[in-house]
Amino acid sequence: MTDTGPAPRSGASPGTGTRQAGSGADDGLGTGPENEALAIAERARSCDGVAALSSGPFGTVATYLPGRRVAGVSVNDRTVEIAIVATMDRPLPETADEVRRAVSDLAGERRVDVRIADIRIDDIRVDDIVEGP
Amino acid sequence: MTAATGAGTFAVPGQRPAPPPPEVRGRTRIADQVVTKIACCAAGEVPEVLRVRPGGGTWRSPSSDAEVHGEQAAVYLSVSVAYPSPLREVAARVRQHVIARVAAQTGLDVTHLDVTITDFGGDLS
Repeated sequence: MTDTGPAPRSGASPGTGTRQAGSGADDGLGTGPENEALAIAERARSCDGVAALSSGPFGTVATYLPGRRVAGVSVNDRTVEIAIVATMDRPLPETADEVRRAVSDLAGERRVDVRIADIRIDDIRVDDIVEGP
Repeated sequence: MTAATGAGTFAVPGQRPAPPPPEVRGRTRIADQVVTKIACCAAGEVPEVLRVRPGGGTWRSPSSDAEVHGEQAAVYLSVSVAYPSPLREVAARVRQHVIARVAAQTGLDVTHLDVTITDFGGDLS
């Protein structure tokens, strides 16, 4: 008897699932595209050698959700694009490959383009050497 | 017209190679700014170099400090050098060090590196 309570809801969800995901984006992780962007951002940020996510030089790499903006992740049905600010602890191609591997199961068959938009250098202060124009 | 090579056999055009596995699909792009920063830091590590500024000299300056085209990069730097040091040798050392550093950190091949010496003087630190 208690099983019949959830059953109609799950039966009705395929039709309205995507709409509900849009309205309830802040709630738990679902399978909607917006939650996918959040999950990809989370995975990428936790990779070794990634200091932060960046939205690129023109702010184009971002996903817009109701009420918020996920910088650094842009998802469509063919490509997943991730823009990162890397640290110099390891060579940049290794960092990019790790990011790509970390999100590969979320990306599925799509290609993952990693853009290294900027770097952060810890031990050397760039401003000490570089004189701005 | 040359498709039929024998009785019932056809020359089939070469098939497209199998795509790479999903986890290695996609491209890695490195921004110009990243190459600029690495090159400036690398140039500053040469002991005779006092100061580094991204970009070319004051005249005929290129439109950018570094340009990445595929696997190749072009870099433009302006440096000031301490007084009693041979400029050609310092420039060669800067060139060598920057190329090695950029290759190690980014995997890019620096095919064009302009070093402009904009100042000469100051103490060897």
